[in-house]
Amino acid sequence: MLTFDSVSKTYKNQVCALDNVSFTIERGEFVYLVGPSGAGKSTILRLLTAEEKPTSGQIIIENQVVNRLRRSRVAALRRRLGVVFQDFRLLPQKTVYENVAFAMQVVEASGTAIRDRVPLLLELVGLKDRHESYPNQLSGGEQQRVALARALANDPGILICDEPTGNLDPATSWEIMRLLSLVNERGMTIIMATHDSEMVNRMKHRVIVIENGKKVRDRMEGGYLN
Amino acid sequence: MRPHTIAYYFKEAIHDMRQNGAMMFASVGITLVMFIILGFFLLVTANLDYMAKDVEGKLEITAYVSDQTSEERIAGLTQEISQLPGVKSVQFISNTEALQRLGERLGSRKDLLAGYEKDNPLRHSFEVFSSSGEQVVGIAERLQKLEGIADVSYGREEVEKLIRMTQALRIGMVLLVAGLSVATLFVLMNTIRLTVYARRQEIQIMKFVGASDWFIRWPFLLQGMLLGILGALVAGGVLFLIYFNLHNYVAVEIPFLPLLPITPYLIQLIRNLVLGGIAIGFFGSMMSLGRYLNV
Repeated sequence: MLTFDSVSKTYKNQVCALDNVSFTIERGEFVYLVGPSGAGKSTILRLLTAEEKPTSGQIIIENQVVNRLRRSRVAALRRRLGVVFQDFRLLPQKTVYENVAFAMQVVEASGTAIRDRVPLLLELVGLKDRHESYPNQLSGGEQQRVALARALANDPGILICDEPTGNLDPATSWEIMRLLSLVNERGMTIIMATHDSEMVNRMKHRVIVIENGKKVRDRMEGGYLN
Repeated sequence: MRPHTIAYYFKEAIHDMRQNGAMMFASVGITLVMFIILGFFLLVTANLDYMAKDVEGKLEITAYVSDQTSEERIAGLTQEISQLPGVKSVQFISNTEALQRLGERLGSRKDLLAGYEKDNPLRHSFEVFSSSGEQVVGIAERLQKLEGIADVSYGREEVEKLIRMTQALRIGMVLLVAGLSVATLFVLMNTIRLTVYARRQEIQIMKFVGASDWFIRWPFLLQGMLLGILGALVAGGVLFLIYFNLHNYVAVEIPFLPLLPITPYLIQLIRNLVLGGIAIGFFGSMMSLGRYLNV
């Protein structure tokens, strides 16, 4: 359902971020994208969300060639992707509820749909009681859970997580990982960039290792280094 | 587009305008001043144009008929002249009539002409009116070539001066409109850019959850257009007051000076300013959004 086919990316400043990377991810898989910072993990995620175009090769999501999408079709693609960032990126002037509702408002969901769905999402991430709080009143873990609820708001098929536990302590990271597993068990495809080796070793899933822009390992049984 | 989406656009636009009240006020002020200057010059040139037309309409060409031209030829000439391009009307003035007119002009010294009735030294002539000042020269040249026309006279210098002046005014006008429009565009662009900048986080999130470019743009476009409309309307009001009073004053004090009527002219001008304001606001906002939408 998601394929990288011989993808290379060279940025304008001649930095070669990705070199002939290929892999396929099936529906419902949970995949870690690991490797040192600057290895090309972020580039892969940016190519998936069509923020960047590859220099060569193809990216296919659900039979659509992402790198050939017209600008007006990119928005439609992104509605099928949920994105969670390391720095949460919640809107500080909006409440928890509003932050999640915002994602639905801007894709023109009806008021009824928003009122029905947002409480369910907040319940899923365990923040039903905090819906009137503002982001600065929440802990990092809670903020990331709001961000996760927002990423799930438009019912995407694929969840893209860019170092979702990078700013969190181990206990809180573990909470987020449990939530991601729960979502994955319900059928969500998850691609998670991380260099949290402990997490990768503890919660085993498929691991794709990227180093210097090359795919150096792709193991179904998981584990960070061995 | 759903009705509640449109409501959302307006809500967001007005929210931002309130948030940046001072900045919005300043840019409406600048837009307003620009539009007043613009409108003022438009009024001046349009009126000069109008006056020029008035004068042009009064320009006449006199074509003198050669002596010993037969009556049939004169009748033929009347026909030919009236069919020349640009000729509005033509009138034959016999030498008897010309003498009479001369007598009238001399007034009390009419006696000077005594005796000329029997041996009239004047020539028959045609009075030719052109439909516009620009055609006077061309008509005069054509008249000169007609058989039976001895001589042609018209206010050559006046005509040429008038044509040059109105053309220079039109060119100046176009430059002024272009210059002021660009300046206003930049002012609005910068104002909107501030609100775009204040909302850059939201824009980024909107992009990531798949909001369309137009959904993101509309609130900002509305802001720009509202600023433009506001500036144009207030400027239109000021110009209306000025012109209304000027018009009334001239009508009483200088009645022979032709000024453009308030309706429809001034109303059209205000409508055009508003349309211009909308266009400038729209493009200003489009331009200020560019970079932030490319995520």
